[in-house]
Amino acid sequence: MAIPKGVTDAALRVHLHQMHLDDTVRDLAPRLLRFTLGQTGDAALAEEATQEALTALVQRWRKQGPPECPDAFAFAIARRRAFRLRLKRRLLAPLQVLFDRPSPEPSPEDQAASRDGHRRLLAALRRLAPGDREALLLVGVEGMELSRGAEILGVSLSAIKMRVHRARKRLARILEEPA
Amino acid sequence: MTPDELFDQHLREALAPPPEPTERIALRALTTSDVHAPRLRRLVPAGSMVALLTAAAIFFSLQLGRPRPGAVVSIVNLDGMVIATSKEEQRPLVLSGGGERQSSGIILVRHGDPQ
Repeated sequence: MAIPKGVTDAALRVHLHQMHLDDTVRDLAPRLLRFTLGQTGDAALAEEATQEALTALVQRWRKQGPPECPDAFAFAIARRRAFRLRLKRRLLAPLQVLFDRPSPEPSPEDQAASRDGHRRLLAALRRLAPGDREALLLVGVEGMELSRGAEILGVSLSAIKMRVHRARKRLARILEEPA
Repeated sequence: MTPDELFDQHLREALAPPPEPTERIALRALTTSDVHAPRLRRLVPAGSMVALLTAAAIFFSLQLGRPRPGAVVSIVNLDGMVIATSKEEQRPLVLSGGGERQSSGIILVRHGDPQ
């Protein structure tokens, strides 16, 4: 790569650093969205969890440099946020009924998610055990290494292998059931 | 491609997000300068709840700690006879029934110790 005249090493390093961050964020965004959508089954919650995970990654990157594994960092945060958001929604659901607050208009993503096949798949994912679902989404769908997935989920290598295997079999069985 | 890989591929495609929100989220993450603001916003409901509970605790502790005012008059009903007893023996409780149009029964006024 040709370096323009007048550009110092430090400025170049900052520029490359920023480019690397941009690429990482753009690569991670769709993967995190997929993961959190599979986790929550809700496009709005998935977006919120992904947004917070990516914002945290950018902050960390700019203040302390890139984490050892940006993927693991962002997925671990997205996993926690998705869990909390689902819990919060479940806790607030009775209040929403009590105050008769109208549900927010379905977003375009929700409308897209209402396609039958898509909705059926999300419902099937919700029927998996949480640990199995997370393992399948991280390792199977996102192609994360088993060791990295095990680190994020805090389980052993053999446990995550078993979870992925079990999740695939169970999901296939659920999807074969008549609608 | 193994059956497992095909299965995962199918899942990946089915869960693929639309490009518009993906781009929006990435851009917002890269342009957001302060992550602490949303964190503080998240603390607002918890803070309000703590303040409310503290205020309620202070109110009830003050109310429960305060002695109840002593009773001045005791009124009992004995087989339809109403008896009003005052602790102050100096003055009668009921002066007369002259202002009443119709008597509602017998009223016995006793001053001082019923014994």
